[in-house]
Amino acid sequence: MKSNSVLWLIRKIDNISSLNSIKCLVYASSIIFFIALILLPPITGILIYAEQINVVLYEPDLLARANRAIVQSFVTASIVAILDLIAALPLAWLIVRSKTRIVHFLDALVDIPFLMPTAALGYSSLLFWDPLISPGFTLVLLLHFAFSYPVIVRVMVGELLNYKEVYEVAARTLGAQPLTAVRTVTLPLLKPGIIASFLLAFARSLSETGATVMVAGSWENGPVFLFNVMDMVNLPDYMKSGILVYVSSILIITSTAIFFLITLLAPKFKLPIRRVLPNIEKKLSSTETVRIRNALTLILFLLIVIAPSIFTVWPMAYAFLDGTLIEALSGMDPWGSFWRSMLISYAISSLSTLINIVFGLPAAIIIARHKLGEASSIFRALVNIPIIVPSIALGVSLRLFWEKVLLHEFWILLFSHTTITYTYFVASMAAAIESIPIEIEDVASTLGAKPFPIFRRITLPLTKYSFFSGAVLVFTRALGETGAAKAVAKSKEFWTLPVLLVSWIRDKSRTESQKALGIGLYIISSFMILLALRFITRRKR
Amino acid sequence: MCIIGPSGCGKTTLIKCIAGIIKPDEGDIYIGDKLVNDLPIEDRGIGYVFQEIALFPHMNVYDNVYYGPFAKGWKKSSVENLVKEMLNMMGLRERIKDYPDALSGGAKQKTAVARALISGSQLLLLDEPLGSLDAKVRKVLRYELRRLVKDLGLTAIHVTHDQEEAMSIADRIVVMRAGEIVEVGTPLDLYMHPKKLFTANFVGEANFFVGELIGEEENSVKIDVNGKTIYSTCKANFEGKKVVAVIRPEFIVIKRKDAPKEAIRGVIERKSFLGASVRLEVRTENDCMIAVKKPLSSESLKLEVGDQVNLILPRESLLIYPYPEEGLEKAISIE
Amino acid sequence: MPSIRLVNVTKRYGKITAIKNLNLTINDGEYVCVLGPTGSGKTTLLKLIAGIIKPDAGEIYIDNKLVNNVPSHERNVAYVPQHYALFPHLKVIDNVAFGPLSRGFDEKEAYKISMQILEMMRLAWRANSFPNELSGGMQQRLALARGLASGAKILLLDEPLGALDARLRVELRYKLRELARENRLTTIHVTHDQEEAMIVADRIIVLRDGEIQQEGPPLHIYNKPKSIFVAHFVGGANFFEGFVAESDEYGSWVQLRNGLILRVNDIKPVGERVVIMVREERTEIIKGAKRREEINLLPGRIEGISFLGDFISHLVMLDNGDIVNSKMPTIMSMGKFKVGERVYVRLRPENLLVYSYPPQGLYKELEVI
Repeated sequence: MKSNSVLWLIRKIDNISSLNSIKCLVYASSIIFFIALILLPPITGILIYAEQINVVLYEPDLLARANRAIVQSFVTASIVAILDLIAALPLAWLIVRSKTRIVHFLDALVDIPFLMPTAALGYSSLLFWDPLISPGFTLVLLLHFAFSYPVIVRVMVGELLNYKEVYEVAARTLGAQPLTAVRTVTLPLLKPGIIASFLLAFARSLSETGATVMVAGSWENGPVFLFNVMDMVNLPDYMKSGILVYVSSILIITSTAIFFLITLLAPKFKLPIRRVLPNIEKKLSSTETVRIRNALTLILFLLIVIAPSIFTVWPMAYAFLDGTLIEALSGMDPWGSFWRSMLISYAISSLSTLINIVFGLPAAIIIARHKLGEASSIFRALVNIPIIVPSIALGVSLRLFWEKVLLHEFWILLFSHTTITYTYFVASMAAAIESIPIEIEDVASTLGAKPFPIFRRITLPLTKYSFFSGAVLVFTRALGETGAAKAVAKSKEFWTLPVLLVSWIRDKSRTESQKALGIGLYIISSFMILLALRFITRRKR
Repeated sequence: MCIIGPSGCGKTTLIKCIAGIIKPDEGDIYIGDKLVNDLPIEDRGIGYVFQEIALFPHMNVYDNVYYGPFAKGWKKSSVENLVKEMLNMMGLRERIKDYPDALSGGAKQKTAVARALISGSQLLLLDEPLGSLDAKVRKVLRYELRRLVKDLGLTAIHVTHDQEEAMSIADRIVVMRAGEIVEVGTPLDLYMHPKKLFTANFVGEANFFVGELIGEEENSVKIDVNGKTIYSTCKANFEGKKVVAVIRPEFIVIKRKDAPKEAIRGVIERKSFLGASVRLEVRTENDCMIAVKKPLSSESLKLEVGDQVNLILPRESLLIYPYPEEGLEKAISIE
Repeated sequence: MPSIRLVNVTKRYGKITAIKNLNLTINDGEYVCVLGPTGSGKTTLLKLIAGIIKPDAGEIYIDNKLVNNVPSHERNVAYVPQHYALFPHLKVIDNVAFGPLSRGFDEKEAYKISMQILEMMRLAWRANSFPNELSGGMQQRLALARGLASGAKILLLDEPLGALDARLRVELRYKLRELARENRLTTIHVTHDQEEAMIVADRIIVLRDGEIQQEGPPLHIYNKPKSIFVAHFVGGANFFEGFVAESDEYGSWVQLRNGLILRVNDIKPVGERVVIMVREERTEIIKGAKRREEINLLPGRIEGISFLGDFISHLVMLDNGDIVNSKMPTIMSMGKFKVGERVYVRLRPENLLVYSYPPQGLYKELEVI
């Protein structure tokens, strides 16, 4: 039951929505928001401090270390993305094509690493692999493999569900063995999804900071190096800024270049389909072979992805029972700052989500309905930049920019989190709106409905699911963001929760129980929010 | 052989079972004399043309058509000539390098058929192969399809919802409804002597009258329809008096005057023009609405709405059926 | 009952001109079919009238008012797109009530009107179902009900029967016509099926590549097609290529391939290259020529016979190499001819239409595929 004033307001908006001036205003403000808050600040931030890069030439050791770290970033990301693709694709296949009940359970399991904040994943991995594997490159590889794995599974499951199986069946009616049909028809047609998931896994590995810092030990990639530099006490400020700007700009430019290159070139890349060996391919398609493949996939999945992710449950349980919980609830030091950080995290995440919904919705419509004509595809490409670029690098450039504008730290924190999570909502909504045939909106218009009523009575109800899942994605991403938060926060007062937890893990004076409980409470609180949000979306579906 | 029937009658499910795309819950399927129940799709030796055509979007026409031999590992040289010949025969020679999204509907259809034929299968399964095409294109292509199948000596099962298409090219037609076979026969048989009421309505147009058997007279049976008596030379070898009499619109003779006693008087209520014929709807003296079709001629053109006419139903053309249990409307309904 | 008028309307999509300088008038209460192959611009035409797209040039008048700048939500037309575009998340009754509610009717009034319309369409018993639960025929009725609920008097139908089975199409085309007549609507019904157009239309407009080829009542278009394209598209036709050999005050003699000669009633200049058209059902086949001197008797051999129900189609290969199709009523030709039999094709001069040979060749002109 809406009150009369709300109805009156809605009616007013309905009526003015047909005016060209109002339509222009809405779309323009969304584009201005994008340019002013998302696109320009990072670029400008870097440019302002561009000349400071020169100072790094006076510290050749630091420079060499920085260069090594940058290379390590891209090497690790490539290895992780390829390994993940090979390992995760069979699982996605199993989930979509299998007819057994277990797959629903598997499907739910896949989400676990997704739902956990990456800082928690890092801590859990640390504990799980100790003492077999200590902090260093191998551990980082295992960690990145684990948290990029669900990304690929999710994307490929989506692609496989959208894939018209009739092509594969057609190939088989022409006499192709199942394996032949899959490798000559299905996989080539899934190329866009494969490329997209590769890029997503690549981006995640490139960008992730919190967990990587925990498990890196003395090894460094870009984000770890930046993190360490920020903590260095014996480095003069101007030198710090210089090296930060240097590494950040290289990371930003290189990652953007690589992404656009791969996006443009990869679709043209064709694996030459060589000869077919029907007898061998028949054997490889047999049920026994498939069973073996599935078994291997499941073992890998459970051992390397799931187990390390949930391992933290044990120490967490101990921490609950050994009195640390009471300490935490009482607010005793260091728990005071813990709760404060949690509050800040939630406030930032909620506000970011709200802002991104309000300004992202018109942007999604612009992209989905090509409101800018030819320019719409450029806009679509630009909107992807925040997720392409490593977030800590983004954070560095944002702090440099907003500092000049003399903004208060809280706002800088808010804007950075908003920028980093912008893409998730816009991409989700754009895809959903695109999938609604435009005839439905056309017909609604001929029936007498103006633009805003069409949006709220037709478009929005039909995209409800994507709306909520987009919002959830933004919220969880903001909640988990470590790198940028670290880059922006100058004082400990404004540490978000993941930044605080990372410092705890590295701090020798924290007890294991305190660390475990801190991580545990972090996980529980985000789980609860997520469950609540998922509950709402399921209801409304 | 064509399989026809309304949407949801199971015709696509049927050929998918034959192809091995779907597994039947019960029963056996033989191709040739071989039981194929447990054979996977790729080993059944069938060629399938899908309703959605399903050309591989990432391959050009040549590669699409060549896919069968390629996937079976045949040597390229042995098939190359065959592929080129098939493409020439289909008129696709200039489109060899084109990709599916650049082809017209008809060209796509031909490519899909060519692709299925090249694989060397003896049995061709076609699921609405002309479904996505314009009416005009369908009319032209269907004869080409039949000619190709006959020239290559293949067996074809062609599923369609368009009974005119089936009638014009099938050797035999299977009529399906709600998962069951209603009747099987040649186009001529199904049209002239349908064994079931549903067939009479589904294949071509028909007039249906509900009446009562009231006796016999010189080789014909007499049926009373709302007070008017009509005659049929059909044998009514069934129980019960309630019957349904059926006659096709084009068999009815229409006269302005000089009508025999048994003619039915009526008034023309509607007239439409079907190109080669004229269709009239006549409201009769015994309150029936009868559809009459006449070839286009100067006489048929002179008939106008409002004219009083006499309709003669030739006795040999009137078919008799027992009144169905579920009622006439349900028995013949297409939806 | 409003009229519709298009004056010099042009619509371009990038490099493609979908509608070229179109002039069209549709009168009050008329039921007009726009007939043409895929890509001829039929859907664009409907969208222009509905206001979904704007013309690049020209004016559109509805009820004598210029509507170029009137947005689609103010034009009050009932637009039914090709696959209906029913609102999947709304129940049947809510789909129908959407129009009246959008136009400002209060809830009670809107739902009352909606139920009335649903009753008229025999869908009231499914008012609480969702569109995907309905059969094809019912979905079509729902789309119509939705369009008419807000009182629109113009009906724009884009292939309204296209999504339905052939047999259902035949049954429903009459109902569609009745609906328009009973509610006194001005209707534009777009289709690629010429049989459908012939049966329901008061007037047919043949469209090709965005231009009107011919318009007129069905019988007129059928009997007097102005061009080869129209003749071929609307109904079955046989074509002969030839040159005018002789001409006199009553007609001409046209020389076909390999020596065959046809007499036509058109007077054409000698030497001109022409195409002769004759309808399939006016292409008679007879067994033996009773009078050898009779004109327009072409000898040939029956290559194929197809049973079409009320007609039988005979494919005849003439001795000169031309192929013709003869359609004769079943009652007259049943069992009369056999494949392989030698026959004569008889063409009466009054049934022959003559056209100039098309510049890009006959095959291209007839190309539908």
